[in-house]
Amino acid sequence: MMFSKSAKNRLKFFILLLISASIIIFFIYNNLKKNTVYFYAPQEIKNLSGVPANKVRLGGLVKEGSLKKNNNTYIFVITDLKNEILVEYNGLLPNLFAEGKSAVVEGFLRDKKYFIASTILAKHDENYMPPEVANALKQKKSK
Amino acid sequence: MFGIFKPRTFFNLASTSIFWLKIIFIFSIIIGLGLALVFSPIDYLQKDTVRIMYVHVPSSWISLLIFLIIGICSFISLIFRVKVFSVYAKSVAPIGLVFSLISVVTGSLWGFPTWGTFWSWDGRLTSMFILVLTYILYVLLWSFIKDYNSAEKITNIVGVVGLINIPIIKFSVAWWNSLHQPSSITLTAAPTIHSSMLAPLLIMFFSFSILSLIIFLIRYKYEIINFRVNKK
Amino acid sequence: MISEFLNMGGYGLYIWLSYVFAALSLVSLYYSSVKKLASIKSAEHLYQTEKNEEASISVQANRF
Repeated sequence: MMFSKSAKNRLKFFILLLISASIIIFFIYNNLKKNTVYFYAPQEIKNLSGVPANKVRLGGLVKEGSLKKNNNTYIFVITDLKNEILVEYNGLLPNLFAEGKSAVVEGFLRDKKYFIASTILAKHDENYMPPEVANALKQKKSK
Repeated sequence: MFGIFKPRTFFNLASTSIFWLKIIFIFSIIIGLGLALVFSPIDYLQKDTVRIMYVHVPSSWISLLIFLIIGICSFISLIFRVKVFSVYAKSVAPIGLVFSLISVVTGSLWGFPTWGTFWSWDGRLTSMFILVLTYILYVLLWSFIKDYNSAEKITNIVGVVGLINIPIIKFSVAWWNSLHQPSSITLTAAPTIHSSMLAPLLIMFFSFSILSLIIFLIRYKYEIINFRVNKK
Repeated sequence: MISEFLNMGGYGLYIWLSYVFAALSLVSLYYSSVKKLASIKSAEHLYQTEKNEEASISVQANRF
């Protein structure tokens, strides 16, 4: 490949720039990862040094059989299959909210085991299939 | 070494191929829409809202792909001073902008019935928002800077720098806890979309790609003639 | 039958809004591009007649 000399110089300069830029971005990214979490998993809440006073999000599976309704208040358990956190919520549940599915709840931690939610978002997973297939899979699992 | 990218090659290609591309597009979009809206099954959880995915996912893919092209063209233009690559990038940018907007709008319209919110600042949604802003910046810079050479240089830089965002968007769902679901289609594992839903998705992607190519060829023709006229 | 199709199991509003938004924005992009080209088409001969000069766009200019 024939490049002119000035193109070669520009390329060298550019590669140098690229390397230094990626190093900077790597550091920024590492920092971002620490400071900006979209939601905490129950395990991450457990590992926190204190109980955060500001609004946080908690994400995980809604434990099967844990959803209870008391007047307008829902109580359920968010779990990552190791740690469990009890969530209290007052309001309407989104359509896709269900036991055994993922959800993200927004609100305040009263303590490390009790969460008072003001908003609930149902999280969808990466599986897409027709109902018949889902039923067949379910039956296969229970056999 | 850039012989096949000579302006004339593409210019002639544009004149002869648009007709056939239009015919292919019409056939594939009819099949794609038929499958997406009528013949594909509902999802076991999302029910009918899964049909929004057949517009949302191809649009997102194309908006990422087009920015990748803009970035690579800007890089070549910046380093090797092959001016025609800036013309390619300039012609394709508005298409990417429109598809990124479609991606964000249809995503919100899917999010409201599914998640329970139109918007949330998680990793994927935030990085996609930045992509839309980058597209807007890129297109506006071309139209606001009157001097061609300085517009070219500045937009090239925006194109190359904006490239950093592409892997961030792609891997945001793997790197961060996010509300957005992880990728269903990856290079390393079998897709987690049932084949009856994968078919309309891929056909819609094909149709959108052909449409992008048609619009690109038209815009490219305009830009090349414009380039020549301005030189007079 | 048709209203059932339009209703889309209760999600019709979101689904049709998505498809309509996508269709409208793509159609307007297409027509604005066609219109732009038509507005300058009279100058196309400038390009067609100067085959030898095309190198001026594609050539590597070694300034900078």
